Amino acid sequence: MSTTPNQTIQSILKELPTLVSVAVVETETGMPLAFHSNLSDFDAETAAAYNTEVVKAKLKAISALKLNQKIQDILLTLTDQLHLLKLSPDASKFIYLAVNAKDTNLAMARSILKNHAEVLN
Amino acid sequence: MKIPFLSKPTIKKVTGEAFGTERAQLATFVDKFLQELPELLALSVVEIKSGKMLAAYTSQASFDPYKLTAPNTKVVREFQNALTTSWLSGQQMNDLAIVLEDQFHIIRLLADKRRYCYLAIKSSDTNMAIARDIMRTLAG
Repeated sequence: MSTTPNQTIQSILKELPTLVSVAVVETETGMPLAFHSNLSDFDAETAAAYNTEVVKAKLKAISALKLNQKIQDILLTLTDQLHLLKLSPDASKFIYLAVNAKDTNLAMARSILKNHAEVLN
Repeated sequence: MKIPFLSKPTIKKVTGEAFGTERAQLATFVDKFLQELPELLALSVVEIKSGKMLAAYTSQASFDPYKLTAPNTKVVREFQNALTTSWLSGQQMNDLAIVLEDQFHIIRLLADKRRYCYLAIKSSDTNMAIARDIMRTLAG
């Protein structure tokens, strides 16, 4: 069973209603396919673009070392926010999720993203 | 298992800026890490602005931290750029963890925000919470 980017956003939102922002991004172009944010000034295009560069740099690092491994996820902790990037199985898309550290912990956010990235199409 | 001629146990330090006191400080820093996490794969300290490798250690010849300096520095810079956007103002980067299939990589800025420390370790040797806690304690 696969879901569209929009359905993914909606179901993540149901599980984490207090999230800061969430987006499904196309890795190749760095453009958001769907997004939602509880902040008025959230700029999905910019956030997607920066995060795509991070993913690409990391993919490059892994191929430079010939590690032959897949990126499971990338976690960034900020002062009071957690940012997670989770790649779809074929790495063509990724989910970007920002949450408040006081609402959610890293393990919860990771497990929610894991379920959604697997069926992302 | 340690096979002497396959591993490179010596700490490699880079020329350039890491001379004098900084070099000595970083050598102690690497030593402390090795005491806490003796099985780590690679550890390096890089200056963000110049992308210069200040100290590097690897336990395997095939895992060359020098090949990672450019992409890792790019990752750090991109995140720092992202933090300048209005909706993220006031946030500081604490650490960044990349989870791979059987290892993970952690990047953490040092207290001076001028350099970052990069650690690669096998997931079977430690867990992420412990590795991040050690990073937090040692890198400040």
